[in-house]
Formats: sequence, structure tokens, C-alpha cells
Amino acid sequence: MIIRDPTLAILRWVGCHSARSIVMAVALLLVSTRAYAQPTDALGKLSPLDYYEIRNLYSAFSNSFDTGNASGLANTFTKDGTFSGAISKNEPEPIASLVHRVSIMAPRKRPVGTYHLVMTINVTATTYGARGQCYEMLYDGTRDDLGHFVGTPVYCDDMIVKTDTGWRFKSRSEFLSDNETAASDGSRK
Amino acid sequence: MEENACKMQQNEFMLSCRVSRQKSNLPRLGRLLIAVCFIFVSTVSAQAEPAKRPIKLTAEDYAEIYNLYSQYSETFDTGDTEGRIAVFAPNGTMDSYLSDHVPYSMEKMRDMMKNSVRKPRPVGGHLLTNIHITPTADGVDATCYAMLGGGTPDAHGKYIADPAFYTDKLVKTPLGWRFKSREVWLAEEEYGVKP
Repeated sequence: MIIRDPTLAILRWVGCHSARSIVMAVALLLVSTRAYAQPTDALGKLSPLDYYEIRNLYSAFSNSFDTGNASGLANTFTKDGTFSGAISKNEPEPIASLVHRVSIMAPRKRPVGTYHLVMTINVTATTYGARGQCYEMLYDGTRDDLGHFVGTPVYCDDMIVKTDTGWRFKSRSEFLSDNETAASDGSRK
Repeated sequence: MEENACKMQQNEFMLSCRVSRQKSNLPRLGRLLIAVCFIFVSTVSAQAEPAKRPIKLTAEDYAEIYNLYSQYSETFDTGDTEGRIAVFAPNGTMDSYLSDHVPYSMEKMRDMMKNSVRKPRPVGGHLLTNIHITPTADGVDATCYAMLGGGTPDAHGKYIADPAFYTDKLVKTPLGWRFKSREVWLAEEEYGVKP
């Protein structure tokens, strides 16, 4: 019998003689191709709009924190979100704790006293959404002898997920330079 | 007897008249109620304007708006008066401590910048960050933080930049996104220090 189709010829050559075995072989081929392609899909892909919305999320955090807007701050996190920073001794705490601390501050129209200036935001697509890393200059109203405001450099490492209502922080970890320097020379409190 | 019969007839007549009046008043009351309801509903619906939904921003919008903020700094810090005015809508306004927070027009801005010197590059200037964009029905409400630094060092030989906060309104014009209004508050002002 002459087999004109080269694919069929190959399948018969590898031992698939019946129609059932050919179907099985093709199905196996498709499954294996899909399995091979899986890691790329799992990494996730961010659109340009995702990148901008994530940047906006970072700004929303600073704005709501610095204006004492507790509900606005809560809205930048998922309900099960966590925050860790100097105040929690770098241990993750439920977002409700941070929101409570901010709710004690008097709400105001503009930031006064505390300024979180976020920059150098590095967004990486991940399986869960995005990892965000950023630098920050944190001002708390401290001034030097010439009257200039003195800020502290901060580094943040965050887990960000896309929810039905947009991108939200699942976790934020804030590292103040003061603590990092102290940690490196063993004097961290 | 006759008199009594006559009075009874009169009473019956009066009663029948009252009942018939009540019968005819029922539909009248109903009509009145319907009319009142109609007037109330139409008045309320006329007063409550249809809620305008916020516009949906595309990635291109975000990119343009971010660029507009950079253009503002660049033009301001290199003394490019016309370039700085061009980032505003023609009827745009600016306000700061320089105007005691009274919004001023682009004409006034031109006048205020008439002595500014063109520079090839900024020295110090407006470092903007935390741009936060909220779409509205008419455009965008936005805020941003800034580090405002002078081009000359302080007594310790250091270049200093102090925090500031901008509150802005932006509109999309045929030429692209433009500031409709900008208001800036310096940290010094917030602490009651004259900048």
C-alpha cells in the first residue's frame, strides 16, 4: 500500500498502524506541546495599561497615607493584604493595623508632615500578578540646622495582584536605610 | 305628618346628594394624586442631571499625561516661557505662594517669566514623582509630589530640594492633554514658613 501523506507515513513508521493509535499519538503530541508552552503563559504578561495602573497604585498609597485617608489606604490593598516596615520590626502585619494607625492621623487636603516620594518603580510580571520594587524618600518633617527638610531613603519590595476592582498590593515590605545600615554593622535595634 | 314626611324626604335628598358627591370625588382625588406624583417625578428627574461617568483612560493617555508633567518641569527649569505656557489649556490657570494661592492666567504667567533666562539644561528644579491620575467625566484630576531644588548650594555646600505637592486638573484638547489648572503647596508653607 502506498502512503502519500508524509505525516501518516511517519506515524506508521513509528508504529501507529491503526486509526486509534494515530489519534492517540496526535493527542499526545498536542498535550506535550501545550505542556511545553505552559511556563511562558504562567509567567503572565503585563499590558502597557497594567504598568500605568500599577504606577498609579503606588501614587495612591502615598497620597492616602500622607493625607490621613485611612479608607483610601485600605483600598490600595487586598482584604488579606499585609504590610511590614520599621514599625512592625519588618514582620508582616495585617493591613488593618496600618490602616488603624493612619486613621488616628487627622485627615487633610494635602500632605503635611509626612511625604512618601516614590520613584524608580521596577515592575516584573509574575505568576501571581506583578512584583514591584521601588525607591522612596521619606520625609517626616525633620529639618536640619539650616531649616531644610531631611529625608530618609527607603526601599520597598511588593507583591501586587489584579482584582476585580483593579491592581492591589497583596503585601508591602518597606526597608528604611537607617535600619539597613544598622543591620549591616550589627547595631540594629 | 306631612311636615315630617317632607323633612324625611329632604334629609334623604341631602344624604343622596352627599353620597353622590363623595362618589364623584373619588376619581377626582385619584386624578389629583396622579398629577401630583407626575409633577414630583418630573421635577426630581429634571433636577437630578444624568450622572456622568468618568472617562476610561488608555495606556496612551497615561503616557501622554506623564510626558506632560515632564514637559512642565523641563520648560520651567530651562526658562522656556512659551513652552511652559503650552502645557496649559489656553484658559488654564496656575497658583502658588507667589500669587497668594489666587489662580492666575497664562498672560500673567508670561509676564511673571519675562525676566527668566534660557538655560541649555536644568540646574536643580522640579523633580516630579507620585503622579496620581483619577479619571473624571470632563478629563482628569491629578496630584503629584515634587522635590523643588534651587540651582545654588546652601551654606554647607549642598544642593537642597524640599518637598511640595501639586493638585491639578487636566483636559484633553485637540492638541493633546493639557493642564486646566495647577496649584502647588510647598512643605515650608505647610509648616508656616515663608518660602
